[in-house]
Parts: sequence; C-alpha cells; structure tokens
Amino acid sequence: MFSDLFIRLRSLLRHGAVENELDAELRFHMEHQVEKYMQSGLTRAEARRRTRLEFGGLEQVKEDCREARGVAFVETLAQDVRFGLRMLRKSPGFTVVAVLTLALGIGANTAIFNFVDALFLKPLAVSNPEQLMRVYAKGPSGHYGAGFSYPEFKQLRDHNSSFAALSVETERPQLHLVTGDDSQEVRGEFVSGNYFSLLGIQPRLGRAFLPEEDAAPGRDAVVVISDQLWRAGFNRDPATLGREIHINGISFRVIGIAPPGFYGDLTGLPVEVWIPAMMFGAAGYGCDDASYNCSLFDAMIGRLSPGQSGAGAQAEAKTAIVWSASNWPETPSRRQIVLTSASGESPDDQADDTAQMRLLLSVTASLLLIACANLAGLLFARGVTRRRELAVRLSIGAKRSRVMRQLLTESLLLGSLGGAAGLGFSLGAEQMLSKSYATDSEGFHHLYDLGFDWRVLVYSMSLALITSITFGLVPAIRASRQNLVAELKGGGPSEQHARGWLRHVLVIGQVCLSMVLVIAAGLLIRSSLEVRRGTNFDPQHMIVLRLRPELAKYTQAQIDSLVRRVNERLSLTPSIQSVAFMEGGEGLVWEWRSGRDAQVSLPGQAQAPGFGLLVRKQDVSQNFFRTLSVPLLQGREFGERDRPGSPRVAIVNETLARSLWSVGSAVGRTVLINRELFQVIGVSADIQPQNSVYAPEPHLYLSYWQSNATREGDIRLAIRVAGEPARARAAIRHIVQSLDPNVPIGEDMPMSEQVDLEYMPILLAQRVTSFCSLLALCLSAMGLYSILAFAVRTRTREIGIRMALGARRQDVLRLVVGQGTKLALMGVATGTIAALLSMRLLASLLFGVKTTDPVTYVCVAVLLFLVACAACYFPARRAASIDPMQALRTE
Amino acid sequence: MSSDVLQIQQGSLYPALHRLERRGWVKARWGISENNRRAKYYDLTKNGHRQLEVEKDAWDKLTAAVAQVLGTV
Repeated sequence: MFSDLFIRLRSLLRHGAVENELDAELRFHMEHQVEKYMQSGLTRAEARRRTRLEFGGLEQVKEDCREARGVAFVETLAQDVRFGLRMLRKSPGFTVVAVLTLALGIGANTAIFNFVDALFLKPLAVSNPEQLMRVYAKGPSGHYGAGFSYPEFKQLRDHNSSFAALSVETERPQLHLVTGDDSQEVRGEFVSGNYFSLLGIQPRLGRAFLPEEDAAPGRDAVVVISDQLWRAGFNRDPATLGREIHINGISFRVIGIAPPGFYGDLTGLPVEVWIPAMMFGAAGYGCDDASYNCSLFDAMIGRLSPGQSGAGAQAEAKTAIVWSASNWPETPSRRQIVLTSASGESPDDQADDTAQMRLLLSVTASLLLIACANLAGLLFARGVTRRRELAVRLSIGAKRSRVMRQLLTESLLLGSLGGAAGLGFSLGAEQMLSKSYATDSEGFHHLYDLGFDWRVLVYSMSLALITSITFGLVPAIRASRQNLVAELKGGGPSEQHARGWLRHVLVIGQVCLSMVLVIAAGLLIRSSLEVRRGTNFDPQHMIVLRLRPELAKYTQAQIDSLVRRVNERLSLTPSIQSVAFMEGGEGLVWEWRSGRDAQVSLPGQAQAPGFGLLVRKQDVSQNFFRTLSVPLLQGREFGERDRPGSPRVAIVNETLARSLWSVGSAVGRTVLINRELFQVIGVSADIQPQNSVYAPEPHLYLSYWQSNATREGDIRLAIRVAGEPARARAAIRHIVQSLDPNVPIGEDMPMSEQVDLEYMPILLAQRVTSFCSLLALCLSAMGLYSILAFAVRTRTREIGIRMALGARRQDVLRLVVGQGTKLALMGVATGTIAALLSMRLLASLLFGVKTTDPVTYVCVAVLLFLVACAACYFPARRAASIDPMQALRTE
Repeated sequence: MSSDVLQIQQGSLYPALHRLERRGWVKARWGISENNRRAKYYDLTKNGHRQLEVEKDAWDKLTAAVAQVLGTV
C-alpha cells in the first residue's frame, strides 16, 4: 500500500523526472534490441524496423505505463482544468456573469444557513459539549420554561446516576448594575457553585465559585463577570478583582473574570454576570425563604457521566423528581421533565425561529434555482456555439465521455469560483443579519456566534458542487451527442438549435419562480408597511422608556411618588405633547398581547369557577389613548377623576364589547372583572393587527391608580414628542435622571424602532425576499434576453429571407417580441398558480394584506411582463435591423 | 524470452512491470548494463516472492483442472 501511494505521489509531484525515466527505460529497451538484431546480421535500418514492429506503438505504451502508475485520472483532470480556465478566460463576459450569478445564489444560501447553524446546530464553546444536557420542566401550555423549585433540583441532583454534575440555572436579562457612578442593564445568570467546573471553563483572572458559596441563601454575595464587561465597564483593570459592585441594589464582590469568548451556555443570550443561585432571592427574584421552595428556576444543565445517554437520563429524572405542591400558577403535577441537548437555542426559541429560517431558506433556495436555470441556459447557448469545436474533437477520436468530462469540468470550475465568491458575499450578508438580531424590542442584547465552521463550509461547497452538476450535466450530454457529419458539413449553428424545448422550459421556470418571489416580496412589503404604520395606534414621534424602581428596591410609596413626579415633570416639558404609562411587567405599551389575564363576566351570570372570558388586562394611566392615538369609538378615557376611592371604571376594546353585549352601547354598563364590579366608560378600537392566523382578541384596560394589583415597580412610559424622537430621547433620559438619579432606566428608544424590532421576523423576511426577488427579476430578464438574442443569431438567414420576400421591420419585431412574451406569459401564468399555492407559508407574517391579494398579484404580473418586454426589445431591434443582403451573403 | 511460443508485443511488458512496481511486488533500481549503459533493473521483493507462490499455486490448480478435464474427454 505504501509503495502504491509513494509511486502515485511521485508521478504526480515529480512529473518531469518520472517522464524522463520512462523515456530512458523504453529507449534502453529499443536500443538494446536493435543492437541484438544487428549482431545477428541485420542492417541498422532493418533492425530498427523489426524492433519497432515487435514493440508496438511507443506513445501507446507510454500512455499505458502512465495509466499503470495510476495518475491518468489526475492528469486528465489537470489538463481539463487548464483547458477550462483557458476557455473561461477567452469569454470573460460569460465568466463574470456566471460567477456573479452563482456567487449571489450560493452566498445568500450560505448566509442563511450560517444563521441556522448558529441558532440550532453549533455546539457550545466548552469542553465536550456533546455530553451537556439541559433539563426543562414543560408546562401544560407546551412551553419549556415551567421551571423547578430548588428542592426539586436537589432531588434530581442527589438521586441520579446519569449526571456527573448538575447545576441549576436561571437567566435574567435585565439586572441593574451600578459601578461607581455609572449604571447599566446587564444579563445575568444564577447558577450552582459547580457551574464553571461542570462546563470546564477556567476564569482568565481570579477564580470560579466555591461549593460553599452556594450553600446558604443570601450569604455569599460574589460574582463572576464576563470578559466583555471587564473590558467595556472596567477598562481591563486587574484591580477589578475584589471590587464591590452593586447589582439590583445589593453589593457583590467580583471574584473572577470569565475567559474571552465565553458568553455562558445560552445560545444567543450573552451573559455578563454569573451569580450563585443562593443569591436569587436576595437579588429580588422569587422568594427569599431558606429552602427556596417557592422560587422557580428556569432549567438545569448537567454533564452526563461517561456511557450515559440522554434518553436514560430523562427516564431516570422522571422518577427522581417528586413535584412539590405549592401555590404556583401552573399546576405542579402537570409539569413534565424534558431533556434536550444544551447546544442551540432553547426549545421555545427554536420553535419560534424554525418557521422563519425555513421561509428564508426556501426564498434563497428559489433564487439559487433561478440562477441554475439561468446558467444552464447560458451553457446551452455556449454548447451550441462550440459544436464545431466539439465535433472536431469527437471526430479525431475523443471519446464521448471524455468530451462530457471536459464540459463538466468547466461547469465545476464555474461552480467553485462561484462558491468561493459566494462565501465572501455571505460575509457581507451576515453583517445585515446579525445587526437585525443584535437587540430585541425590550432593548436586551443578543449575540450569535456567526463565525464560519466546517458545517457552513461543507454546506456552501456542496451547494457549489450540486449546482454546477445540475446546470452543467444536461448541456454537456446534449453537446456531446451530435451528428458529426452534419455538423462539420453545415456551417454555424442552424435554426434547429434555437428550438430547444428544454431551454424554453428553463426560461418559463425562471419567470415562474421569479413571479413567486416577487409576489412574496410584494405581500411582505405591504405587510411590513402595515405593521410599521401601527394598527389603530401611531408609533411615529413616540419615545418609549422603562423605569424599574423594583430593581433598586423601592417601596410602594416611593414607586408611586416617582411615577407621579416623572409624569408631571414630563407633561410640563414644552417639547413633549403627551405622556402615558402602564404597569410594565407584562409586555410592551402598544402590544396587544400585553397585560395579565383577567376573568371577565357579566353580573347575574352564574359564577362557577372557570366561568367567563379570559381576557388580557392592562393597567394604564390617564391620557393613554390620546398619547398613543388609539381611537375611542365610544365614551371617554381615563382622567384625573379616576383615582382610588372614586367609582371603578374600565375601558374595553371593540372585540370585548361585542362579545359581552352584542346589542346596544357598552358605555355605562357594569362588568365583573376578577369578581369585582366595574363600570365601562369607553370602547376603544382594537390595537391588534389581524390576519388569517391571528383573530381579533378581547382586551381590557383599567386605570393604573385604581388597579388593586400590587405595584411591581416596573413602569413603561410612552411619550409623544413634537420633533425628531431620536433627538428627544437623550433629553427625556436626562429629565428622569435629574428627578431621581438612582432609578434604573432601560428600553429607551423611538417607538417606531421598537415596532421594527418586535416585528423583526416580518421585516427580515421582507428584506431577504425583496433582495432575492430583485436578483431573480434581473436573472430571468437576462435568461429571456439571452434565449432571444441566441434565437435571433441563429435565425439571421431565415429573417433575411423573410425580409427579402417583403416582411417589414414591424413584422420582424413582432416575431421576436411575440416569441419572448409568449414564454414570459407562460411563466407569469404558472407563477401565479404556484404563488397561490405557496403563499400560505407567509400567512402568519402577513398583516393588512391577504395571501391572495389581487392588487399585488396584478401589479407583479404587469411588472414582470414589462421587464420581459424590455428584455425582448434589444434582440428584437437587432433582428429588425438585419440587412437581408448581408444576412444571405454571410451564410 | 520464452522463445516464440508467447507472441506478445514487447512493449506491453512495461505497463505490466509498472503495475507490479505499484503493487510493491517488484522493486526497480537503476544500474549499469553489461555494455556500460544506464538500465533499469527489476527485482522481486519479499512480497513479490510470496505473491509469486500464490499465483503459481493458482496456476497449477488451474492447469491441473484443465488437464483433468481434457484427460477425461
């Protein structure tokens, strides 16, 4: 085996030396033999003749020897590649167009796949990530975050044989961090004492937690901070170790700094501070009793013992945990243990992102298909113009397979060039994608590891390979199968070549797929305009801002006083037109899913448990509807008089009003909300965008000051400003800070930006689809153009004869344009049908426009038709300017 | 060269030799021929000897079988 490899390598690398040796060896044989014959009495000439006769063809023997040494394949390949490169250099226009087309198609696909890789596939950057499992409690609603109490975690930790180590973990995206006189929000994670050793992570400075630092609730206020925070917040000062920093109003001592590049174990959620789980209550979360049996922790992460499987661990965990019965919202016994790989996003996030990624991948895959069809068309045309060359090669003895191989090598060359350029292009696209995902609508940071790994490289290279075989194979087969005699006798390409049905199908397919993409883009553009405009509210000239006095441990009285002062002060500022706020714990100000569940029924109805409507309820301030420009259909909105002690009032949205009282006005009626009596003072329009997936939902507003819910100390403000909101933002922040320098401020941004971030899936889909459909449009126009230009070239003589017989310029124009528009119309027709069938995929992203929106369909059809006409025009003009005499003479 | 019983073109010897070399059954070296010229010599390697025995066995079996068949006719 070794000798085999050695000989092959030597033949390849020392090509010249090996050839010389072969030459010397055979020459020695010949000369030796000649001498032998001459000694036996023959003349030199006769001896030579005999020797050559006996020896056989010298070149053939050499070729056989080369093949015997096993390098023929590689040599032919090298030859083909050299020849292919020469051919590509000879037609730079074709090469540039083909490589660019492929680069865009492959690049777009690679960029999306890289994101899929980062979201779902990439293993955690820790030692042996495949052994890490996450333990979730799945609630009855199907969500994975039902959580565990600390005693439940201890049961599993202490009674299992599957895990070598197990840590509880809970992420909080918004800890209030104060260092010196600077404050910021950081994402923190509460973990067990063994967390870092479990992951195999060594701090770059200082140390990780000790086991005893996670033993008693509230005792050990220590923190490990990320390298990123150390750089940005502490200027890489080594004296940071041992420093006291304030998190949620408690003083913590920095004991370690995590290594660079380590962002925790939650894909997409970069953690800045790690805190022992026993500090959970002290930091203001859950409850603070000694055993933590009424606090919920998100999940656990564990490292499997050698030889243990995830399935085995899951079975064991199911029996190990006895659910404790506490007064939790979700019935504890209905929680279910689920183990998943610790790599990739959480299952809940994955479920959200899967549909989005599938959509983006289908869009980019369609673009690549169009690119393939386009290239196949170009190669057909090239194959036909190269028929002469190929016929010559075939007739002097080249095997058909050899010619095909040559042509395939050329397309593989194009493919690899396109693939390489595509990787470069995807780097640029990555920037856009990661920017879209850098913050969410609440202002929290997200971070995905978008470095190319081997999966992405394999993906893009296989795309390059598959596409080049797809677009190269059929033209190669076609080109190698031809009638040699006819080809060599008759001059250039003749009419019959122009009538390839396959090329027509390719063009129709391109137009059809482009039609689908452009319709998708059109629908998504209309939808994103709709959501950005706001449904019955106006996000323009608005600033949102979140105050969280709870994080700084404010009392109820302090919270109320703060809210009053901020509201008053902002209302008096000249550049501010109107101010509103709401209890901020559950959702954004303008979002229709915001608020908490409330039980709504009518007085006099049976009050059995579970009776009535479950409705989202928002506690809002006065001027809420005026500030957000929500139309009030009837009655009035909350005002100064709706204070604690005055009659309790409620505002319902249109859907709730209609479902409670099908006839008559709702204003003035009474309603039971959580078994307490309220009077309806107004009916507002629904703030909810609706589509075929999201039906209108009932919604309820109570006065913030009348709500008897305990103050969370979490306030979201909505402020209407006169000028540019981005400029007002800093001023507003400054005003709030001057009133109270300690209150944590977050989420301050223009509301329009928040809307964009909240609807990022729609906007991103719209951007990617618009980009791809624009390219698709150009590609199909090019495809149509090239098939017509080719047809005109091959039919020059026919057109010349027609004109000589009296056809006018218009007739020739009509002939060519007719052919082109016929193809385009067929593409538009099939594309319409395909779009009608496939737009269901977009249903959840389309607001304010139906999947079958006739306006979009008609506009896109007209657009495509016009583009097709433009593509037809130039070849048609060329055809019409053919000089009959010239045409007949050249053939 | 096995006189004239086997009529093979002499040239086809070389591809065969190269194939044997690739399989490691013969080893090639450059030496000086009797009339003082550079010539390539092929020697059987250890593996080559072993393979020769195997092939010989196979050949003997084949010829014996053929002889037996022909003998019974």
